Amino acid sequence: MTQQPLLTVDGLSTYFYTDRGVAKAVCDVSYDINPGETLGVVGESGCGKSVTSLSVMRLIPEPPGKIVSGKITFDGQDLLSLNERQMRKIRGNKISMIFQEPMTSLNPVFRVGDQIAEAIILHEGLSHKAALERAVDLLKQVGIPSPESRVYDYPHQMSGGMRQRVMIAMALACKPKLIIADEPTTALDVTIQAQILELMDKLREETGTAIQLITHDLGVIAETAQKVLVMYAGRVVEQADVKDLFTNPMHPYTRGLMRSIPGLGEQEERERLETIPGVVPSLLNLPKGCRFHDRCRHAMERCALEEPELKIADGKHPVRCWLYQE
Amino acid sequence: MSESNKDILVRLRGVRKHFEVKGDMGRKSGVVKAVDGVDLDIYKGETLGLVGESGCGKSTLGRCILRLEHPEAGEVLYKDTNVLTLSRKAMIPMRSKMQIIFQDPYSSLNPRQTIGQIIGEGLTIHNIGQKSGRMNTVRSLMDKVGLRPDQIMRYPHEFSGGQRQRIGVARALALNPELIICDEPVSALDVSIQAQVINLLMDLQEEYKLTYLFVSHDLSVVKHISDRVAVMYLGRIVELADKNALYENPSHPYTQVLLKAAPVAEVGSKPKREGLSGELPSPLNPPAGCHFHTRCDRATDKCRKQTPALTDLGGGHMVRCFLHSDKVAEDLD
Repeated sequence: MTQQPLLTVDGLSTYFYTDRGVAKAVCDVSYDINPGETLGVVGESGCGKSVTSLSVMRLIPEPPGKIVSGKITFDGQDLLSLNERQMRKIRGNKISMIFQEPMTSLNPVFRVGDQIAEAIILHEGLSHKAALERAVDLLKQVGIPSPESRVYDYPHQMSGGMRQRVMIAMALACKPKLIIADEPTTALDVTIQAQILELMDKLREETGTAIQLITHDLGVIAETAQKVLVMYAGRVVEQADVKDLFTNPMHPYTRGLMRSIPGLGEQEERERLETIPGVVPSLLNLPKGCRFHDRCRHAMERCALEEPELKIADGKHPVRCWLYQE
Repeated sequence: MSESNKDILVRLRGVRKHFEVKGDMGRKSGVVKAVDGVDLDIYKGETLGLVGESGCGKSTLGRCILRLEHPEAGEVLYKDTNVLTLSRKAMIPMRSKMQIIFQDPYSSLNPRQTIGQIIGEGLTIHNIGQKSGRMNTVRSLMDKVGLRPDQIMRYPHEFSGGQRQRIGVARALALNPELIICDEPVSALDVSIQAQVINLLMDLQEEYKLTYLFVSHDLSVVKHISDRVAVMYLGRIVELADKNALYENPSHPYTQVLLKAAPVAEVGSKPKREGLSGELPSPLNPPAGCHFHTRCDRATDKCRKQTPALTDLGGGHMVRCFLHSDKVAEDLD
């Protein structure tokens, strides 16, 4: 496959300059997404997964935040060189975003139909009436029953799952090439989560939209992503195809994560879960050397001194760990 | 283990908790039947998992046992004492035997109290030990749950989420309880921290012979920690069984759907999800008959009109579904 990637992020670093020091939220992150592909980004809170996607959308509040280096190319365009007006033409149009909290990301005083129509009117110049008709179609597409009347509902009249469907309808409104979904199902119940994930996958297949899916849930990743980025404390620590990652996790952090989730399968009597000791380091005060070394059971002397590169190990996939580098 | 040789610590009978919902101008506009006639036994020393989706009443049920919510009907028998009829004064010694760990370690700790005050508050209220000795008790509790005892004078904001949850655990342990209600204790934590807290809870249970009611929406966590599991749907228990029986042989259509819906961290494991549609109906206006019939692909007319009873399929595997109760009835005839 030699297709042009839709989004290329190259050496992205985003820092936050706070009173207490510089928080290096994202450090030298590179990845790309092809059209029609789902890239999963996993990591725990504070690993920089959300800041990475906000950087792509150029939604980092400045100050205190700043994209200090890197290049973001989307569809042949250098996003970092665009001004705010040009960027607005891309947001919600070619790249759209689905947030975690459907309650706080919808405006409570506007009808959901109008909120969906807003982007259509703005980007495609349709009349209000035509845009509202499109909104009805979109609501139907995301599986909301009786969309003709639901389009006049306010957010509070809908359940959590329905609101998330509205968010997806909104994200789809202008047929974007890329959807960034930041923990889209974390606030939902499992039966609703399953429906939403299925819906996103179906829409991806039908419309060829690429998805950047941010989550802390490895189960969600296993089911929906094709490629995966594992992040820890602002760094990409492992990057692989989903199959490779789950059959052959290499970084001690990835392995630890996978072992620490209890499975639904066969289980010995009351076995202990394997844990990763310690806590995620503060971004203001990152350890020297490998950022994971003080929690790592394989840590060597070298790990505390030098930080490893993200390198392809054993001809397989890129991993940032001295264990695989001589 | 057969049931007869196990002691029942808590026995719930017909527990009902309804909340009135006020509409415009404070007029009553409806009733949420959060817990609607629950019978449940919790055995001494076991972990009983309670799972269900948001709004199914699982947390309310846990709080009813502690009388943090007062049910309008039913009995909560703690070793043959009905907790619900005790006077305020008689309730105080009772409370030291039953403790709770809350979901959100951020809002459940008073930000103006030191860790020592938070963990030691119960000791003060129940007048346990000498004042000077209490701080030593607190220190050893902190050590027990994996906190550094020299941090006793610190405030909650100085701790991470996982550490705060450990503080919550230490507070629950302070009075030597027999029963701890764990209300989604790991849901707010990161994956790597979740495992630490789960292990801690399991170790403490072994050491102090604790009984847990473990409330959670996470099926894999519940499977890991529980001996028996109860599944709730809109205020009623729909299935109750030993852990392995429930996960290997889920019998209620809702339990089956729930297990199929849970994402599994393995590639190529994506299950076929049939019979999974619709949303949780509003608990304000639950469907008549079997509450699940609106989402069940095997619902019949009978399900829409009548409420099935919890039926024993044998070995303590209880299911509330006509598919099974009719069959059991036939077998008896």
